[in-house]
Amino acid sequence: MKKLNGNYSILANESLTNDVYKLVVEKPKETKIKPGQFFMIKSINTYPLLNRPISVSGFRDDAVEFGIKKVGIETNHLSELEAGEKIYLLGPLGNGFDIKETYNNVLLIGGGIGIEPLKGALQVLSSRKIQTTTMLGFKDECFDLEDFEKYSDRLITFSEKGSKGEFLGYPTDELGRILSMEKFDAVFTCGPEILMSKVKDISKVYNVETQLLLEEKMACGIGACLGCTCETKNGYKKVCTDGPMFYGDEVTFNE
Amino acid sequence: MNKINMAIDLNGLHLKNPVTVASGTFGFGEEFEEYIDLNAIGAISVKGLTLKPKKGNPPPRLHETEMGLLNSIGLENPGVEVFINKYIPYLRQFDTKIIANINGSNLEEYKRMAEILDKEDIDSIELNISCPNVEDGGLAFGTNPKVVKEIVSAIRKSTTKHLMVKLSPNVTDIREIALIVEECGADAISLINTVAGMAIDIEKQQSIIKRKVAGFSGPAIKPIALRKVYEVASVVKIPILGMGGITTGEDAIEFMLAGASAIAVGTGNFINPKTSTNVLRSIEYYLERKDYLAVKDIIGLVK
Repeated sequence: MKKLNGNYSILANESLTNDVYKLVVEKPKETKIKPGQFFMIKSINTYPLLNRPISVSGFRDDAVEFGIKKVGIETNHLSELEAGEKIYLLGPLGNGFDIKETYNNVLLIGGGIGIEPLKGALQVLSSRKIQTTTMLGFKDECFDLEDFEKYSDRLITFSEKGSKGEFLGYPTDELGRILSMEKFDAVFTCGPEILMSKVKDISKVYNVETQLLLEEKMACGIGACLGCTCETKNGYKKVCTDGPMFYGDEVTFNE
Repeated sequence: MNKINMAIDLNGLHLKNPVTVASGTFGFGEEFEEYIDLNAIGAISVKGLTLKPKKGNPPPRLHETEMGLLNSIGLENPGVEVFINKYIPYLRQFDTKIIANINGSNLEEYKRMAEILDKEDIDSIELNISCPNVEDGGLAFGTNPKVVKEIVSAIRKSTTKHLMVKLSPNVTDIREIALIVEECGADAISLINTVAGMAIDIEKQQSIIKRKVAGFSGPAIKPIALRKVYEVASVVKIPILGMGGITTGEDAIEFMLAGASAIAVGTGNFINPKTSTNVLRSIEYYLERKDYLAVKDIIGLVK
């Protein structure tokens, strides 16, 4: 599978909230992407210097989708680009989620912008007729729920405000109860470290395998700079090429 | 296009063209194989090697600043044995020169590395006495003229391989160090290693990099690197492999005009895995446009 390394046209750039947007970029049909993989992407400016690692949040035959939060100069740049303009893409990179043949029922738990890569996973899970329950946590306003509703068999949303019918609190508040009532083959999670850490610990109690999607600052994204190191039970690993998906029993979150 | 002679002789290290890649920015080459033709570049300087495998520094190890990159990797590498058994055979599949970048925490380790590699199928030893991200050795050695003399002389006696010494910019007068390196029998000099730097998180009121201080690279250091190359070229006769912030052919040409016989792309490899081959193409275009028949003819034109 040949990786993309070049400039590709934006097909759409749509604002989802004040600081989250969906960037849709063309790709050749033959480029296959796994959910949980990422691309190094950048607007075609000299500044800033490095590409940004962004997870894939959805795919079509001829396009790749990124759900991006504005957190700095480059993610702001990218939010201002319009359809027809080009951006640099390198990828797909990393291992991605491992959707095993034996899976019948998967639980997905995301928080904040970390929900985005789970959307891609749901797309594949639903196409393979694997049953899914999705729990999403938001700080305030929910976003991008349309696709989650489309692909999840069951969707439960939480927010710190609890204003529009979501549960007040965090997905992890209900995780133990759900795992005690229903048998899941795996839990996929992505979001803030505190969320993933709790998901890992609670799932372990119920003996359910977890797949965590980690994030780190990267320079190259292809395993050369050794900058995106994370501590695991098996020593230092590279988030870019050893991950970004790691099994819960390997990851150590404490300092 | 093919009429231009791109070959460069770094005093016994014969490169098919002047574009190489800097240690620590290109892994062992395999990370780049699917993006570029490894046969196209003059040489690959592999990730800095140590006698035993090295875990490297705790994260965070990276921070980007205005057109530059702070890193504190700390020489994470699988050790010289894995290099010999796995990566030399791998790299030998390609028509490019292999430069082994060696590091030690004391003189004995450097010597041992040189003795081991002396028997192996590599094209050059790059003696790294300028890594800013380790406790022992590295920069502490490369900035002390007495120690430089001791190490380079000892390594020269330990190997008959082509020997290149990589210099730090973090010295008062780089010419002094370069002259010592030349006197001690090095075949070539590579410069610059990263510039000592740091960055602070003002909310947490602590250094962003876990090990507090780091090495600074990328386009932001190019003028510093260029000046160091120019200064060294003005005093030594042995050839220079110039590097520091090169991301374009124009950058590379500046280094050659300042006195470098060949150049290395470093941080540029992270921006696009094809940067080195893009740089090469752009040098060729420049030579063609200026009617040069050989790339060596532009070396040191700026006096």
